[in-house]
Amino acid sequence: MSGVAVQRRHRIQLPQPKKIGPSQNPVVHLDPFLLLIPPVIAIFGVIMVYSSSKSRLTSQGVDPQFYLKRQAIFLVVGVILMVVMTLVDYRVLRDRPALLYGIVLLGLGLVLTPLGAQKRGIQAWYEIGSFQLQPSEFAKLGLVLVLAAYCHEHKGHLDAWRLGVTFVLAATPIFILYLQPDLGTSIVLTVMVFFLLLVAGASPKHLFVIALLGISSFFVIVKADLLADYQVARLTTFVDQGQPKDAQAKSAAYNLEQSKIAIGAGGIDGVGYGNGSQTNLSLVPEQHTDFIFTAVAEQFGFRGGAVLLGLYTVLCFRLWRAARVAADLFGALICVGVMAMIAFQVFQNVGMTMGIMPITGIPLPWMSYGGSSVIVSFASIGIVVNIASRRFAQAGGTTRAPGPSRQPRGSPAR
Amino acid sequence: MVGLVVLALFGALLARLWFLTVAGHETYVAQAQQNGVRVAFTQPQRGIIWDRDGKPLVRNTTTFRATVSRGITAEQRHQVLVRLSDVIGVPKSDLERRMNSADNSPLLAAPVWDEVPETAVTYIAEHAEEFPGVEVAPFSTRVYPYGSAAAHVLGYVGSMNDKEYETRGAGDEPDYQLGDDIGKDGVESFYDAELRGSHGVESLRVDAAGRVLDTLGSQPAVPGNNLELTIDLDLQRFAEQTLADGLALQRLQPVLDRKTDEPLGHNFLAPAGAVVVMDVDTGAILATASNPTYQPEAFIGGIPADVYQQLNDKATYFPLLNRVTQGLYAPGSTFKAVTAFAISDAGVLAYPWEEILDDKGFRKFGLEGQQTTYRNFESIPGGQVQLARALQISNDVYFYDMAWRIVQLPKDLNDTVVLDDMAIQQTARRLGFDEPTGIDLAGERGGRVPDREWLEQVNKKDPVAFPYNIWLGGYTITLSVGQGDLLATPLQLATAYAAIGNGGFKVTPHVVHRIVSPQNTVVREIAPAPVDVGLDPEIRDIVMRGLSDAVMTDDGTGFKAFEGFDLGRLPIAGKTGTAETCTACEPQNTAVFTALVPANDPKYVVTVFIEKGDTGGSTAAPIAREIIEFLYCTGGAAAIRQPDPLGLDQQVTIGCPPLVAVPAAAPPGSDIPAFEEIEPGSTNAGVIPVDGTGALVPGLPPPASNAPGTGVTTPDSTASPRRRRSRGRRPSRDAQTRRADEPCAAGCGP
Repeated sequence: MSGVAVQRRHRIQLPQPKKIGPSQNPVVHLDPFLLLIPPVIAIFGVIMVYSSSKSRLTSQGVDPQFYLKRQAIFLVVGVILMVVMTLVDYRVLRDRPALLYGIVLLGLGLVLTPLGAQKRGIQAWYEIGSFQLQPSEFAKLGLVLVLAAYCHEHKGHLDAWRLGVTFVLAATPIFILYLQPDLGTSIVLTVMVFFLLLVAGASPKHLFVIALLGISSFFVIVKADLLADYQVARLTTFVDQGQPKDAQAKSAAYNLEQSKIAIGAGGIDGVGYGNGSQTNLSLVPEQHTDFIFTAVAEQFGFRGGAVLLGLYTVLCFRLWRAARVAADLFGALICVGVMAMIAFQVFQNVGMTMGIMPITGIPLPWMSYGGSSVIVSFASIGIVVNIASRRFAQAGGTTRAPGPSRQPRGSPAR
Repeated sequence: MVGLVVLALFGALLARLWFLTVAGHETYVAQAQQNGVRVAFTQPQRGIIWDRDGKPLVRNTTTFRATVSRGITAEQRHQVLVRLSDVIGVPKSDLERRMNSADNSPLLAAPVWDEVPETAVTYIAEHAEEFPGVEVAPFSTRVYPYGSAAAHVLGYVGSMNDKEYETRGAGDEPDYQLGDDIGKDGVESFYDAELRGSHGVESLRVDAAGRVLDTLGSQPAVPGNNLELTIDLDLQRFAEQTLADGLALQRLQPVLDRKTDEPLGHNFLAPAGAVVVMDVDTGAILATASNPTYQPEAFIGGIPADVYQQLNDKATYFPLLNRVTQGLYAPGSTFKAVTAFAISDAGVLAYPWEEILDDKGFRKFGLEGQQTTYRNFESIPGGQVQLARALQISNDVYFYDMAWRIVQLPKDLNDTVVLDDMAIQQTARRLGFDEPTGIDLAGERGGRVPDREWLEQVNKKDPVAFPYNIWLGGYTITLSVGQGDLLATPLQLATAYAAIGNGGFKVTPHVVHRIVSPQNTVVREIAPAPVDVGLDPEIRDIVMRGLSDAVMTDDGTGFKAFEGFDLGRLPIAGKTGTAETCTACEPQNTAVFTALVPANDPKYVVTVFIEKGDTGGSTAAPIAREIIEFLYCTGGAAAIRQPDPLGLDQQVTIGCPPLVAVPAAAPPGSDIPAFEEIEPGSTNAGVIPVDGTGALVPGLPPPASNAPGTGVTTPDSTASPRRRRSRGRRPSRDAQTRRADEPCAAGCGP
């Protein structure tokens, strides 16, 4: 499929060699920030995964570099995937939204069958050799692509009916995620979809209704005991920090308490790489995955944490810029979706470690240990780089090109 | 707009990061430093308890105890228990029962098994990740090498429950930590502060999983002090066995009708009994048995609720109850010796106290027309009786008459007593009734001596059970023979008789001889000073004569039980008691016998109580006799018993081996036959040296030349004096301690 797209691109580009204006060669327009920041964060992530897991692994008598090695593999695979996604014209992705959506649903659905593996009561993984594949991570990107393609197809004219369709498109995978149960990822998806629709041109009135529906259904879910005890405990711990009521709440409060101690103990400069009692005594649970930020803050202090947050901020602004300059609505919406995904995950994850967001199992992009998250994050960036680099490329590229480029309603330009 | 949102979000994160890392830095650093530190208390070794010869009655052994944290989920706990049951090799239900034992602290990790085999300990340590929340730590438990021997003296040990924890200052005292074992009965409880030692404190650096990384500082645990008891293990075990056999034997006897002597078709119940052997001069207790008894071992590692219930149940006659200090009985005729002193104190009997009464078997008291008849036991007429004779044949009417005289002591016009019509009560209290004797065992009871105030009090409190509040003369009359509302523990009776035996000193009974530090230095000697209660020495002589005659003359009430006993060489004074627990019901009585040996200068008091037995002379006295034989016989024949109590019919009275007589001059002025000084081998307190005239000289070590007199001597005089004594005088101790079911082979006795 991609081979066909490449051929067509050449056919389109060749007749206009003398066109005045920016070069149509996408390589010229590669965004160095978008290309360099994720690998830098990911390398830092590998280093931090090692420091936060080695003492625990040592005391268990396992190879202390176990997570280090695996995360390094994920990094390499992720970078390769990013490069691949950068090179292939992103517009091939908008051709088969139904197929893509089918894959997303199938991946999410099959994991609930005995094909999927269970870990700590959550059915969210496929065991592939010694690796686990987490389809919900891929679903994030998949849903962004599907919704972007749908909005693109309707040129951003999202009336109530179409908004309803997008709502169903988004709600189905979110519901499957809730069954796993993976509360964190479903929240990420919800926020992402919301942003995407906002930018795609949905009327604020309709979005307000959807938001209202979402919030009220959330309360119904909590009140009607549809959430597991630990999920409620995590949410309420965030509300009443310091006064745990039962065992579940105690465990959630313990996580938060240890996390805050680790961050606070870092001070301005941190205690230095490889030091830190909270890290070395394995006092922060899940430190190499969801609570990796505590290792950064304890060892590198406020400065380290601020630099990392700064990197994410720059990255988000470059993603936003890519959305604004994208050649078509499809590309713009992908950029918005990816930005929302990254920004919300960072805010939720880092906020959770500092007690300003509830505890949910959302990874910090490129930092947290976990292959699926790293690979999907790299792939997403690859697509965005691709979009940004092809901003001067001729529209079209597929048979279903939406005609002359026009600014969609609610586009970032406004 | 969206850019602003992103900026705001990241700005919030940065602000929060600043707040935590810079503003809150000091707080969190302090918490972080504390975080990985855990203060662990190490259990001290509990003190060992020896008998008077240094045989360990209780010692410690170290086992591995597995605990499961209460912080893990139910599912995890289930998995952990399944794996533990696999590794330890016991059913999961056993682990669960241990885990749910009632005296586990709800705040600490729950113990699941107390004896984890070492292979399992290693396995669990190597596979820690398979056992989340499981901790296996060495743990010291009690071992009872002699099973139930002296169970009521030792008491038992168990986890401190919440109530006990609160009474101990709720942890203000660092030596009492939640989950600690504490003594719960007997000396384990009474001397808990001595036995327990103090906790060691270790400050450890641990990781989140509780794995110890290093030790920051430690203070070792200080082991508890050891106790050396006054109990003689061999005598103790013999007394327990004899009591058990005596009860078994009594249960084979049919109950006869009071009047017709026809069998009523069932046997005596004889469910329980008590024995105490005490040194009359010091109050040191050599043996004390209470039956039914229990295995203190059952309490190790938490006793299951149903087992505990069984030990505390009416149907099993409360095996946990120490009847010696907690059993309340009417002492019956044994109380007459107390009344004897009272009638002299009240002045109702005049010097020389030899007034003779003519007893026809009953006597009527009271005003003309509303008289009450008081009868002798089974209405047997006593004939011409004076005080000593009344004790000898246990004549009731004599004491009724004396009590009636006390009742009739002059009163003033307002019916207010001006003279001591409560003389018996006062004398009883002087001799230690109505209040705990102060023995160093937990839970002693004080009994009851009824008097006017008491009656008014209970009438006010419970008018249904006690409808009258006027003290009637009849109450004094029944009190004079140890019946009515009088209640005493066997130990109180023994203490009263000890005072009679030693010439008027009330001793404080005690079971601990001394407290010895782990370094083997004596911390404290338990030697409570006897209190002079002022017994009239002339009445005392008469009482002693009466008590001697009761055993040593053929019409004495205790004579039959001592038939064949060489009373010529070991004179014995004693008093039988047969307390009717109710007048209307069938004749199953509290059978009591208390003896003072030797009669001419009592050294020991031996008191036996049997519930629902026959008479004191027939049920209790034979048991006392066997114990006295064991106490004084140098041979071991008496200790060897046939396994089946049913086969004991003809063997109940095992004669003392012949003693080697040494001519000794009779103490001047004594009509008690002289006897050779037989030294009770089981006790160093029983050393009775003889001076040149043969008189007794207490408090001096025995001259070596005295040893041949006992007919046995051993060459191992290099051993410590105490050891030498105990071995020298009891050469066949080994034979005696042989298991009871071992038949007496040739040579097991001398």
